[in-house]
Amino acid sequence: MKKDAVSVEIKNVYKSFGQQEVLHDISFDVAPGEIFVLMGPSGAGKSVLLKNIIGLDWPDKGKILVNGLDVYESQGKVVMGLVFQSGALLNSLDVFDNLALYPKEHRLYSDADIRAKVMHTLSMLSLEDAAHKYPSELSGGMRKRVSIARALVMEPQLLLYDEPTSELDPVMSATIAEVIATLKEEINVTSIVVSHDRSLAMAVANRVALMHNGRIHAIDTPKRFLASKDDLIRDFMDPSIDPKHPRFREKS
Amino acid sequence: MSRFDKRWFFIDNTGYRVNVLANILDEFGSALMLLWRSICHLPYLPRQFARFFDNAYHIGYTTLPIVGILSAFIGAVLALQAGYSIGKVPGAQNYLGSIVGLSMCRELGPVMTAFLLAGRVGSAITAELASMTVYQEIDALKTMNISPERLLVMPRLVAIAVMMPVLTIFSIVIGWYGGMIVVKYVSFIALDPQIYWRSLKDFVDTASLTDGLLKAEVFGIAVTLICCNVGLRTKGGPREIGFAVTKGVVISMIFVLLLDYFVTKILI
Repeated sequence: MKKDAVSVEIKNVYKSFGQQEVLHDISFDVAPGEIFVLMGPSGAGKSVLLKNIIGLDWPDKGKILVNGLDVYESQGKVVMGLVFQSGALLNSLDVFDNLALYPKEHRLYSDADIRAKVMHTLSMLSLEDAAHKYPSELSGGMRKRVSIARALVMEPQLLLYDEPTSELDPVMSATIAEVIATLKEEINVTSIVVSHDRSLAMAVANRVALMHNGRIHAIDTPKRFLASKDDLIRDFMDPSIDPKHPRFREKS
Repeated sequence: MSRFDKRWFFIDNTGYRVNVLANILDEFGSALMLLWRSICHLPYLPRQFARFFDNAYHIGYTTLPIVGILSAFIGAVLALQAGYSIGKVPGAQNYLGSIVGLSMCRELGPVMTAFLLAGRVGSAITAELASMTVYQEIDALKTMNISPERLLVMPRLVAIAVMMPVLTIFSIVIGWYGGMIVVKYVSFIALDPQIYWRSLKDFVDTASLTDGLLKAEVFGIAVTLICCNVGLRTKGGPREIGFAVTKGVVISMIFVLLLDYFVTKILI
């Protein structure tokens, strides 16, 4: 049964680690069922923001509301999944058990139903043959797909992706992009995707945000982003390579 | 900053001023919270039976050989030292059984088993949980709304609570036999084993045994709790996993000695 997708509201969120401010006055809304892509250079604070949204960390100031509820109130009421950049699969369990862990621990279905559900999810991502392999036996792309599959088994209402296409070849990146786009139709999920991958963002996003130095620089549709005349956006979306005038020398 | 302040603060590798006392209290408090949260998950034990059984096997069965070897030699050396020291007093050797019996039962059996547990099992627990923390496996469990205490800590604590008395009894009995072999075969002692066992039976009563087992239980739970807590609080990368293992084992051993004093004080 399809669950309702949820909205996310981020209101004036600040976060610092010691003296270093990582998030500065971050505010945006994500509508139910929307695919929202957060882009930005490394160290911009994108992954920290994801951790704050799912409740693995908490903001110093500001509010994060999921379906109108504070993140901590929403736990147990809203099912949220996170696809980690590293995969974060449990190395002591094989792929099948990694996927079956959530429904087993929460006693959602009978053993037979769990088996059917896990195998169906694995087949969605062409991973049937990997069911009894351990994470150490998988390639980077397979680990990432298993991580997505593990999040899908949870039937999340909000799915967060942290760099889902990093370290993947272009074909695998396209496959992941297709998975993200089709999931919206299949399981009615709100998605927030953190990525450097411009082609992924342009292919799947309803809206794109650019983060820079812990701040939201711009939020717009992919088309407008591509047509933007803003220097920072243009530099990020289409970085020209000029060996005669390298950026690192200009900065220094 | 005054000289007094300097003794209580140090600058860590991230440049923050760290209060040593606050750090110790923080570790202690988090270990107690971990124990409490694990106790709260006890009703879920039947669902974690496979994990409990797996831990009991690794903690108990695979530790038995090394416990046996260590205890046999401790009992033997104890008998040898005591036999040599009291050998000059006529008739004193007849009490070797009681010396070895009580020492193994009340002190050496529980303490040495706890030390072995810290070194062998505690280090493995810390390494596993620390690497799970560093490689975000614990974060993954949290995002799935699965408590790491329920899945990883509680089954280990129950396994240790069940296996520690078994290991300790094994250690005590093997230590007694180690002592017996020495008193029988070492020429300057050459005591009849029957006298050794009679002396042992006269002095080692049920209370001695239960006191030893109670101590062992406390040590076992403390070692497991400390190692789980250190593992789950690891931050950083692979280098910190190594530091966490050393930290877990050292803190466990210090705590075993501290608890040994206080539990003994309460029991006698």
